[in-house]
Amino acid sequence: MPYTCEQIEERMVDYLDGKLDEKQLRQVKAHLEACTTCAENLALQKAWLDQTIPLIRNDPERIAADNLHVSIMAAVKQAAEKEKNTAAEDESREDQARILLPWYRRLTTRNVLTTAAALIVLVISIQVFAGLYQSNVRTGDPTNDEMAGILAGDGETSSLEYAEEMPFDSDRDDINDNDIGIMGEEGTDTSMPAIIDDGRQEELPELDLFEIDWQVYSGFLADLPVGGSLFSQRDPGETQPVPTTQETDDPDLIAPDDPDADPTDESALIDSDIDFSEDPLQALTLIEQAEAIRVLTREGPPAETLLMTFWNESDTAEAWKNLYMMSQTWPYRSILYQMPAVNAQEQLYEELGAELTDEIFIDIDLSRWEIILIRIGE
Amino acid sequence: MSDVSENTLIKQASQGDDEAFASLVELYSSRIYSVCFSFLGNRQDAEDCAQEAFIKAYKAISKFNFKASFYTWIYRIAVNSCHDYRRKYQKVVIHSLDQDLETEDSSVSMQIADDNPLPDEIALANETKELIHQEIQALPEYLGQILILRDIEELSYQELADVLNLNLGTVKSRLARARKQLMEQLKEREQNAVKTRQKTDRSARRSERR
Repeated sequence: MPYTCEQIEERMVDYLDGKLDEKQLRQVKAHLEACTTCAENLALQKAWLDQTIPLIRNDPERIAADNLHVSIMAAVKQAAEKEKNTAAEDESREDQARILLPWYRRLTTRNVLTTAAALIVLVISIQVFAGLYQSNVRTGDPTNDEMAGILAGDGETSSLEYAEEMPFDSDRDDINDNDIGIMGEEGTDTSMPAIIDDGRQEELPELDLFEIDWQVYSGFLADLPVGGSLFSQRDPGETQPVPTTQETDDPDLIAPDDPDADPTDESALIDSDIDFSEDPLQALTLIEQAEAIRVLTREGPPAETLLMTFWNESDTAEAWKNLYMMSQTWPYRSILYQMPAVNAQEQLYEELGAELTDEIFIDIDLSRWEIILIRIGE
Repeated sequence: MSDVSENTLIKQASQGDDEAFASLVELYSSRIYSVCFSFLGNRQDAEDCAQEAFIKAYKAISKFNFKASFYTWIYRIAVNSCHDYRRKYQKVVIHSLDQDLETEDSSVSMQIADDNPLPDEIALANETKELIHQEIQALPEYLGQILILRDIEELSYQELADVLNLNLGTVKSRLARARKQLMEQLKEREQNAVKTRQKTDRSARRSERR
């Protein structure tokens, strides 16, 4: 069977690499003899590789200056210094209407608490929050005192009013040293919930994804100025407008659903359908979630805007489910954004007028997502 | 530098050893500069962008978990930085037919139809480079980056797959698309240049007759 033009195109790369076997080669050549279009295209591509490319590669401007690495390092040091100073300023400020960045500074693999005990602590503390929110009618933020009370297990504030659905699967054994924990230095992070030691050994039922009211959730999405869905990558072919500042349609580095992406790739994200009744949500690690809740429930009065950035690292849905449920009970509008890493900040600044920061976290697992949780006052 | 000692450098750097990070910068700055130059087209922007990439790397190095190579990691940061940089500081190059018809610019195979002296080889080469750069920038980003990383920066297919988080098949098919589209753009440019020259010739002939 002689090759079609389309098949020639498919094999062009290999042909030019000299990687076709004899049989393929013969068939390609046969087609090229008969087809001037393809022959012309081949000639162009050959000229590109053989003539144009060397010209571009040998451009003297393309060679780095000898001392570039020195000036780069100087700039790195300067940037680091500047950040240390601003971080110090931030911490000394009473005003909580600020962008929460500092706790990321503590992210190192060494600091991650990975013991089972730590997990249980987190599970219990999150459970408590869930119980608190769901069983009490609240119109405002729980006070810090109340929270502290619950966490300390002082018996006055009930920690037994759990929601029917427990948000967690406590059998998490997939957190290892390489996960980015969000705890501070062991023993020095006073903002961590205290260990609740009341001897309870309850088994936590799994959250049933189907019972979540995803309609409510899509309601959020309808309000979102960004065209993306919450957890999935946007398919560039979809008609949803991409209200970003860039004009790219790059489906991978920039984010949206990539029909070409390797489905076995661990860091590949889920189907772009906003049908969350299907599981595969990318989720925060348990620890990250706990930290998110800690921060969001204990920091700042309702009317403020908090900005938090998460890296999407784990592949269980549990943490996200829980976070979502948490967000339902907050007295302010919560928006869970998923935006391409490279333009996330810009997007946000445009919409919120939030203070510009050039923090970008890059995950070695080549995760492309940055999820931004925004709490905005009524 | 062997892998072992590079890993040592990385570990030291993530523990705050600036000298170690400086060594990493020294090892990789040339390559990162080159890729930035290929994306951005001029030395100043490339230097600025490379700098930004290393600043980001510095801030994130404690998160490096050795699952991929440092090379892949820093490259990815650089490519991201290039995209960012282009959006922030460089105007989008819109490949417009009207533009071509109005300029006296021509494809590299045509002479410039005006009263300037014939370009010598260097000028022609510069014009080619500028032209090619414009055409690459006119490609959609996700194709342009493949073309740059493979054809100009000569990354292996596997490295490309790692940096861009694609499978090998996708890398190759996108490369095919990128090259094809670039060729089409170049052909179009040449056709427009022909039209321009024909218009110029015709109007020149008309004015001669008067």
